[in-house]
Amino acid sequence: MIFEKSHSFFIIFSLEIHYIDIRTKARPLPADLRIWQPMERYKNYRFEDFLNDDEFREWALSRSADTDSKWAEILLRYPDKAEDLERAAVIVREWKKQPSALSDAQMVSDIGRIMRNIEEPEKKHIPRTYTPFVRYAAAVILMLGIGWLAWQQTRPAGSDAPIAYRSGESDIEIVNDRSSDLEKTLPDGSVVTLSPGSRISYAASFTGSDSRNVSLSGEAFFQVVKDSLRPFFVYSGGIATRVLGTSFTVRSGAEDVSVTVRTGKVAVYVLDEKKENIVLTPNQKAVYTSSDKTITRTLVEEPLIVRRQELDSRFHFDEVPAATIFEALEKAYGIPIRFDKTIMQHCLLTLPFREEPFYRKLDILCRTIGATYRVDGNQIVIESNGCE
Amino acid sequence: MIEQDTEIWKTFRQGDKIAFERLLYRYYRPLFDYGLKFQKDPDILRDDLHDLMLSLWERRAFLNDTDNLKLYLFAALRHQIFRGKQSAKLLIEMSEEFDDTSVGQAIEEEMILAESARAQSVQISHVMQKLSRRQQEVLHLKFFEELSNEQIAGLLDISRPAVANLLYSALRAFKLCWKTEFTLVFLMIIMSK
Repeated sequence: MIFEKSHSFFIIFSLEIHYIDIRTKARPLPADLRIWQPMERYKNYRFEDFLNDDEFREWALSRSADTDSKWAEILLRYPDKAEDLERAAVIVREWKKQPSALSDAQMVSDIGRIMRNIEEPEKKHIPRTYTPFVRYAAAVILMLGIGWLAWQQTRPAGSDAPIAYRSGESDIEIVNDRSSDLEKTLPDGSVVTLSPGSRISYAASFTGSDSRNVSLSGEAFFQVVKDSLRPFFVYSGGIATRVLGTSFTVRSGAEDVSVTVRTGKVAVYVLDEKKENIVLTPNQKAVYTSSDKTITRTLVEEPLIVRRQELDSRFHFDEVPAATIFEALEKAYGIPIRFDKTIMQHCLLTLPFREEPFYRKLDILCRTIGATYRVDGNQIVIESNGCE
Repeated sequence: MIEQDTEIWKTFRQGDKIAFERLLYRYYRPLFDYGLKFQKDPDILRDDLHDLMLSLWERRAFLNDTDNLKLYLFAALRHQIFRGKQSAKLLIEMSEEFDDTSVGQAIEEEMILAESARAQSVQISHVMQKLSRRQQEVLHLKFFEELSNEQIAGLLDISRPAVANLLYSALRAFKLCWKTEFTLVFLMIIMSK
């Protein structure tokens, strides 16, 4: 209370000083008390006074070259204020453009963790701890199923490596022979969650070499610590997957290996073949067939939304052309959708999409306008006779 | 309040998970960026946000209506972080001193990598790191979130004149750091010629 009193006294004091115009040492007024003061007050406005002025900020943000504004008049009247005013206006506008400290991948993973934990309240919460001081620049979901058991039984004797990468005796092996997932931290701080019956191995000199190499059989989930100088490779079933950023999934049958990208990018290489690697983007899948060593690119079985904003703001469609909806889907899922715009120009529809799976959305959409769709490589092709 | 917010908040409190997820996608990032102004360790902040969201979900049936969801969540985050730390008073004491900037360094370096190092917005983030937590918080609320002094007063639980004073001193500190920053850049340009 004493503080409050001395404070208001202070304001009155500085007000008087202001009118006899020796403000040099007086503490300036809060902006909202200055409103009823005459125009001359801007004569003494400084950088911080402009910034602290609600009206000024509004003007700077709108910036409709509003020359009638009193701020433009101030520029004319007090040219020496121009620099402070311009600088303050830049600050106001640039302030909103500051980049977020949270990456998209991290946000998706954080929200995923929260949603998993609320969905199973009876179970023990998934550990919420992030290893202190370790920041995962890439959260990598890597599920590699190379039909481990089948392969174990059928492999020819002496050939114990589906894996090109070998580093000799000093390999460290982690085997999950339990019936639940096993979580382990690798020497570089990356965390791997192994599915039952899966195993990984890496060299004892893991952190000491030019790249971080892990061999995997089975299924695993990786959270990879970013290190641009030492790329992270996962070797399995005759291919290598290089982490370029964010998250992806790898899965396969007994005969082939597939790599699936959730968000971000990975590069897939065929080992001992001089083929070019293929770079996968979200919702794409590469299938590697070991018998003929070919890689084909297609779409994942269950595409997921990669751009959430797109869905939030625009997935409520009210009497809009089908083209608009296809374009929104294309953006939200990052999957190219091909269709004939002219044929479909009269197809108007109202659709309230919620959280249906991608192909369900396509189904609903196509059925409504009497069209069909098919998957062609990594894109969707819509066939329609138009709407009359 | 934005219409969508009203709808999300209503259905969330009825136990709709999709509404809850939408709420998270809308406000997780603003909460994170705001929280970082007074909880400098992003991993601890993440845990705080996780716990806050789980407790919101558990208490959903008992939560009140709100006419400003973002402000409501901001206040809840503050409460979450300062609970067990006696009170926000502690923060005021701590934050009058300048912070050790080392923790913020890593994030900031990433931001500089992400954007052009010359972008003004990055400069702003850079200068912000040099201010006290309290100053960073109030500037973020005012300039980034564009809250009114009244809203800030409610959130920080202080009087309106106190908000105005805080803002003013924060801006002066900001200007001081900004000038030093620019002088340095200027000198470097001259010397490199």
